[in-house]
Amino acid sequence: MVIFTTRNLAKSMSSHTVVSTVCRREGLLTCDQRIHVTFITREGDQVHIDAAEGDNLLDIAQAHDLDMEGACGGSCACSTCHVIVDPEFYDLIPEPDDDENDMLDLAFGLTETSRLGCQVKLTKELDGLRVALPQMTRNLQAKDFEKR
Amino acid sequence: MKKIWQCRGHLNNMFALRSYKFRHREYQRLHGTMSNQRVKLRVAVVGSGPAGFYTAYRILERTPSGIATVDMYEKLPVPYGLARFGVAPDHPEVKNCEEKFEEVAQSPYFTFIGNTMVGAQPLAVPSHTRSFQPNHVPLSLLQQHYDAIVLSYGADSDKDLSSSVKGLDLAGVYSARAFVGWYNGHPEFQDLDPDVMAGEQAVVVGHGNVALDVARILLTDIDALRKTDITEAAIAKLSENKVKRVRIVGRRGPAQASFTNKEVRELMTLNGVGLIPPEAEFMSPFLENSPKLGRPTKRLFQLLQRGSTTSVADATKHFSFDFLLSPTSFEASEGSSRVARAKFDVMRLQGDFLSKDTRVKPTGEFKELPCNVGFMSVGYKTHPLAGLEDIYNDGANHLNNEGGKVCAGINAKGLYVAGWIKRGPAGVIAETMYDSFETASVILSDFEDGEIGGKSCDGWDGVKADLGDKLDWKVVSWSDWQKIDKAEKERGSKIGKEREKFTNQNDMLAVLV
Repeated sequence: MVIFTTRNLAKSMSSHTVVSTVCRREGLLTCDQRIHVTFITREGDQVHIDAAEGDNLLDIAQAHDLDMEGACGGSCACSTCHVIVDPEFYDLIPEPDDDENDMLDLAFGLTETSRLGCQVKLTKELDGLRVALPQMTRNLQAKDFEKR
Repeated sequence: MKKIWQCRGHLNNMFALRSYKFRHREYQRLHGTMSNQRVKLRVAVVGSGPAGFYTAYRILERTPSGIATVDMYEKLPVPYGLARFGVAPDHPEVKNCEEKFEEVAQSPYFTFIGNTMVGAQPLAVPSHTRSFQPNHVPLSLLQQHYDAIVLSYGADSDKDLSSSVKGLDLAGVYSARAFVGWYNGHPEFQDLDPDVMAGEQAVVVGHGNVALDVARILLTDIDALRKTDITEAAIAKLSENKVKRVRIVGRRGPAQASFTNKEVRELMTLNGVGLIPPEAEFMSPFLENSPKLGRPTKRLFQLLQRGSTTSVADATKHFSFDFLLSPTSFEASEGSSRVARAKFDVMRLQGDFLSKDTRVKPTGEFKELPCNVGFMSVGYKTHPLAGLEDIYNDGANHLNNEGGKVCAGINAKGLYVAGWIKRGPAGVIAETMYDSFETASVILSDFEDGEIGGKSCDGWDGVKADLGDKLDWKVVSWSDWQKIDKAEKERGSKIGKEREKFTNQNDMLAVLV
């Protein structure tokens, strides 16, 4: 499923919020079909997106040029689309299956409410969903150089 | 120097379009036609596996179009490194990362230079087979013509245990790395001819995912592999596979194993294959310590407890995880030169059953396992290219670096590392990806600071000019690789497979004639 977006070029660089414009899929989405998702970037910016039911978080993030990689192309074979779900919404998403849990085992900075973005599909119940992009790796510290 | 790349956020908004071609057109529209003089950062990447490609991707993505170029050198005529030669044939979705690599390769600022090896062959690495003869370009030549060089050539040999394990050269004992390279069509391993018909008992030494891959390929129904990109030669050989009992043997306990749950689960769910459960002494500590178990360890325990989907009684083939056994020798029977058994020191954990760092000590007892075919899967070894010996860390098994930047040693300026040669030979593609992003960040920050770049280097053109007549081999371009790729897929589709790989250099190059 392809989401076509037109980006609003940010008028002010100092703004903390980048607002994306309406998603279009073969014409305008009606109010009923829009599901609001907020991504919190690593820098702490809030990106508000309107997406459609059935879209998964990896596709949505990449369509909006958020810094989320999907090395395996969204086939649940890596952990690069790891997101941290706001605890308020975590239980509203169907539980991860064994395959997803196996991949989550390897995700850096795993939390109690972590999921793979490619496995989370939007439903009406998830309207208002908030997810955060986790840190990719630990920050290098001085002690890392001493070991060797 | 205008440091426009510092306003990354701004540029991301203006140029953040996923296709490089689109970005190039957009940049041209705004700034006029590209000229060679725009290029301020010429980067050479040595090795075309995931580490090389993810570093190239990040460098090109995070600089304004045309400021940076990447020339990627690869010793084989074909790219992708372990993504092509390491990932198991029954894990095709892991190879989806190649789609991103193809996207990177489409950039007008990316050049693939295949069939061209950087550096002389280190003496420590065995010489190549007749299926593959490398063509060398000295690293020093690259240093003259590039602003930055990213070494991402990985690990080229096995950890050598021949001083502590006897009989590794017996018929029937193989390196797991060579076995994987063999069934994945790597030209260096086509002569392996592994004798999987010798008998029913297989021993795989090692508790990492490579060991589990080997076990799975030995136990899997060959029909499940027929349509994958495993080589026809491997299918032919594995069809006569007599192995019925695989022991996956590790030096430490279950909580110290390096393999991951996905691969364990795959073995547990193989058709007609039964797990012979670990002895109680290895399972009860999990129960005793259950509140302390980390998530992956807890899930591993559950997997081991639940067992295989096919019961031991119903299964026609079996496998087991054997713990606390350290190999001392492979031995043949009297009057034979073929392996018949493997001997181990029985070990004891010195400390916390659950801690990953817990070491082991021999108890003084020994154990013997029957072994008709043996595989050593105890880790890979990296080597420094000739001239880089003073920055190589033998103990850590990688080149010395700080976050990907080579800081000390002769001619360190402009040298960077990514992937296994940077942090040691362990970790899946996702880890390598983040690692490469870190290296790319360091390169770009050095560029911003003026430490590298702006020398009007001439890259591959300069290297070619200096080589002159010595450049007497066919250099494989990206469009050449695409012809080889197409030919492999066509060969494959004729026999109902995803692709049929060319397994030697001459066959690959013959496509281009």
